[in-house]
Amino acid sequence: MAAPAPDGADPDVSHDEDLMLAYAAGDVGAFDRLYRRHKGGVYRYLLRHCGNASTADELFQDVWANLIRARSTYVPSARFTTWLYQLAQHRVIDHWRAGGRLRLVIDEAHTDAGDDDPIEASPAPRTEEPDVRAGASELRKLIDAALAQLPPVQRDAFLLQQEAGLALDEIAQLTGVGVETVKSRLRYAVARLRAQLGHVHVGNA
Amino acid sequence: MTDRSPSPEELHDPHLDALWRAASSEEPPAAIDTALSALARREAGAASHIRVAAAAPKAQSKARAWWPLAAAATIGALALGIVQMFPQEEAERVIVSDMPAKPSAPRPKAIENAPSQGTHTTPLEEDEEARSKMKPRALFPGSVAGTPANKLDAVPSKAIPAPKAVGGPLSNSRDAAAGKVDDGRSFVPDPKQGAEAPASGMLSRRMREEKVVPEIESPRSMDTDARSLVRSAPPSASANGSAVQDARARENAPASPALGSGSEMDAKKIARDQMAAQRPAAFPAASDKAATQPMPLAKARADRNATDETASAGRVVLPDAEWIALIRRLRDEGRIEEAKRELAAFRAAHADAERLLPKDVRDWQPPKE
Repeated sequence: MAAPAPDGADPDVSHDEDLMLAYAAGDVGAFDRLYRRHKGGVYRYLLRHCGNASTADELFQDVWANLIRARSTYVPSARFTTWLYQLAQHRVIDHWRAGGRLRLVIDEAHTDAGDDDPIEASPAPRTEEPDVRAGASELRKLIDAALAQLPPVQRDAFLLQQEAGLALDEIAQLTGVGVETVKSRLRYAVARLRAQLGHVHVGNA
Repeated sequence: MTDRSPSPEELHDPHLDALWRAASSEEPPAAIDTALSALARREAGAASHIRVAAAAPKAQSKARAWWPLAAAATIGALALGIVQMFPQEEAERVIVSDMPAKPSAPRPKAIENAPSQGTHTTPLEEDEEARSKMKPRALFPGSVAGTPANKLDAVPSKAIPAPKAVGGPLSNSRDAAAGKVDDGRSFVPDPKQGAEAPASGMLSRRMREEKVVPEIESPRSMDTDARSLVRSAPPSASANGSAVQDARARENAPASPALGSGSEMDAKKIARDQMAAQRPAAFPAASDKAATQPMPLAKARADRNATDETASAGRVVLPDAEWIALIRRLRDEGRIEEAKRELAAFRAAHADAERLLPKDVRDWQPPKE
């Protein structure tokens, strides 16, 4: 259940939940390990949502500051990652709400409706598009452009899957919807992104 | 639109995963890493201090238990010290009377010493004396309007000198002052004199009084005042005897010429001449106004020493209507003795007092104690 320790740290204290509890007890080193482990995913999750590096920096600091202040109330009832990305999602929602845009709140029926049938909406098969080799920076731009075309809830589901590594039920718990809804969102998101990026390949441009 | 649950292949695309992994390399700035690390340490450190504090509740509670007591003891000691630092003020003798308070101390000395030493008071002092004499006075010894008779004696040594020779009972300074004061009282109800009065509000006021009720001025008053002044006991002995003294003075006062403009004028002139002879040269301006009256002077001192609001308000000799109003007020306020004195003074000052007095005042019978 607990996320493994990708940084190869001591397996005895490698679970995210244990590290968080250790930090709540005063072990600052545990916090450093947690931070190194998850800072990239949280940062990219925020960056993909707001599309602006400075805004992402601000939201990123807020998320971790909230985590630090809430350390004493942390209860490992769920995965640490779920709790962390829930903080991140709430911060993004607050950001959109403050900006007058609630992009993550959309009509579920609309997004899951047939008019967004990924198969019919998909462009020509990949075989018909010229392959594009893009470097990392170019690739990021293409990905950002493709994500920007996704509805917010589908983008959120995709990012939670890709960056947070959350399972379907965890995404459902975090977003407050059913598992099937999460599957539907992911299906549509994947289909759209496949259609947009299917002809792109990783490589030097 | 498919109703079937998406297959795992639909939820994941390996090609997208590869692209994603290749493109997703963004990291937060190092400055943010440092700041968050510091924040985490700061919060953890603060929490550790709280834990340490909570771990030693007993020791802290013991120490803190004494804090309130120590604070209370400290405050009490400070308060005690502060209270002791303040000098204990002696209770001042409070003379409650209708007579005005005596304004300044030096004046009495001058008055005291004047008869025997011929001390000359300064014009300023004499002016002040005259001014104070002009304070509420019913023109009768001990019966200053609103001023109990005993106020004369209530004035300490200031007002009443040692018995001196009759005829020249007043010191030069007193004479001078009285002269100034009595400029209007010197039985010369001459408005001009009042206008020429020295820079003394009392004198001017006296002159006005004279103008208003010239017939009230009685030579007997002056003589009576003089005798009262002469016979007055030391202040300590006559705190309450002024009324008696006044009455005695009045009894012993020589028969004065009948009140009347003519006889009154003569009497005043005589008195004035007598006073003028006693007046010091230092007070030349009052040479023509040296009709000093010991009694008025004493009464002036008494007035100054009185603490009566009415007196301090600067009330001077009252016209009949006001005098009667004063008697009524004293009576209504329960100040029976004062009311009786004023009524007696009024009756003494007016031959036709019974006619002047309204029925309620005329028929008023002070309750017997």
